[in-house]
Amino acid sequence: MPGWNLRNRAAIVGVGYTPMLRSTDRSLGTIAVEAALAAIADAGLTREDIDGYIGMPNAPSPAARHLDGVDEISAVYLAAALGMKEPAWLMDQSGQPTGAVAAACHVVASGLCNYVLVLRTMYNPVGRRYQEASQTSAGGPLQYGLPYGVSGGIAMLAHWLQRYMHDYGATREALYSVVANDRRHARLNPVAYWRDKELTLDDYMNARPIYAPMCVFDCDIPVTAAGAVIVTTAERARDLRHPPAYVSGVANSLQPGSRIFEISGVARKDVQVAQIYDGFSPFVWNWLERLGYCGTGEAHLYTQDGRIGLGGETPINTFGGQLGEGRLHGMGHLREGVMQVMGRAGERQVPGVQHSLVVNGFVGSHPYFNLMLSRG
Amino acid sequence: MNDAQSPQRPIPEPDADSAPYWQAASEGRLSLPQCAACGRIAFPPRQICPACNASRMEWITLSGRGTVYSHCVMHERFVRGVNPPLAIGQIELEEQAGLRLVTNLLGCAPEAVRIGMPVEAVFEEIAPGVRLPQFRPR
Repeated sequence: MPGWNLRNRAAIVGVGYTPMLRSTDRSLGTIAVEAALAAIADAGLTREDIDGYIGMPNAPSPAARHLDGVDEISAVYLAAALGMKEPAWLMDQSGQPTGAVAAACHVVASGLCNYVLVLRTMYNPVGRRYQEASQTSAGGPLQYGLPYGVSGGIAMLAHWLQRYMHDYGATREALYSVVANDRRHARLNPVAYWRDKELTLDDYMNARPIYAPMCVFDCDIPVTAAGAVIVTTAERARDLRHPPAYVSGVANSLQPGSRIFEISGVARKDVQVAQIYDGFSPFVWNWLERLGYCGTGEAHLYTQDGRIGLGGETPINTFGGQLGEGRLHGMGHLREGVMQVMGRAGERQVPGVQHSLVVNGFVGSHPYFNLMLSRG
Repeated sequence: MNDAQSPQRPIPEPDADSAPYWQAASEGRLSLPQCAACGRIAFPPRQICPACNASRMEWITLSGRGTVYSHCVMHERFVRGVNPPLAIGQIELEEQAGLRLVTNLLGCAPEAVRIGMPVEAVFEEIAPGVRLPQFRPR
């Protein structure tokens, strides 16, 4: 199997983000530019330093209208709105921010760009429900789902969860451990949507079912917000404001879960903190097994007893995850992974972080990426 | 059970890959393309075999028998014209291990659906000439 010649040769050097809002009268373009400027300032750079951009424009809500600057932000929109002069790399990609960072490593390591901005904006449709589909016809992949009431990914996860509970004796009470872990950590995150609200087991068990066995709290809260990071070479990173978050490994989520440990040369036991994609709660069980933190069918036991909490064996989703912070489609996970390895996570800081794992997407179904971030 | 759906459900839009699937459904048949080289049946329908990349796919009529691989119950209306509560099943067809499609489960209370339940295809008319493959207990 091929290796990766760029281990620790590129790094994330700045992060920027906006508050998690359910609605706002400010445009999505404004929010995107604010996150970009915040990331640039955080790195101690200026706009003129940024010569590359990789974004993920797609609005995943079934209610999305796909209007540039309104509910999506394209590379062309961002470059113009930010006033980028003659960018050497400008790209929209599908997938999540970890994949954009993986690509950005190549763009800076090749010498084509000095500083690549990676940005994700998300939009919560105003006056409509996030999963609402009002189409009169269903084409493409929707033709096999929408006429049956399948809107977005929740039904797929409900099927996964139902089967998992059937095969391994897992329960919704056990799944509460994943949601409660997120909600507990969200209390320590100043920008988390749920920072002021506890979720008891009773609240969870009595919550509105959406696609049962998935209830409303198994789904991340849609927000309008943006997050951004800056990627540059290891050489440049050393001279900037913060300790760099070196990218020690990248692995596609269609590859075996062990791949991220092999390619980074970082053993699972040497990872101090992990951000694991949790757009829907069952993702976390699925990934823990796939990554080898426990055996197949054991994740519902593994997530009990504080093992995944701050102070536990490997703290997971220390910022509250998307279930606690808001639906930033992986950008929250990336930002927290960076902050942890930089030692800037405040009350949430895990002591002595040398290696920080960031996992995006759903095992086996999407071309998303895992990243290993390491301290120099 | 909610077999009484409103008439404004989204109508499937056949495309070059799927036109024979919806045509067969309108005739009350469950049909999918099978690779003439390796024998794999493809869902969603494809014109080049995803398993071996051969380009000769032959549309075959399936038995319409399968089992419930998994299921859930839609409790809120997210899709125009599709009314809760409604059972949504992932059906594994008897012709091939892992060959699964998602439909509603009709003729049975949503809470009575079980993994492994034997089911058979039925075809539900949702607009003149448009029929959806669905499944019910057999």
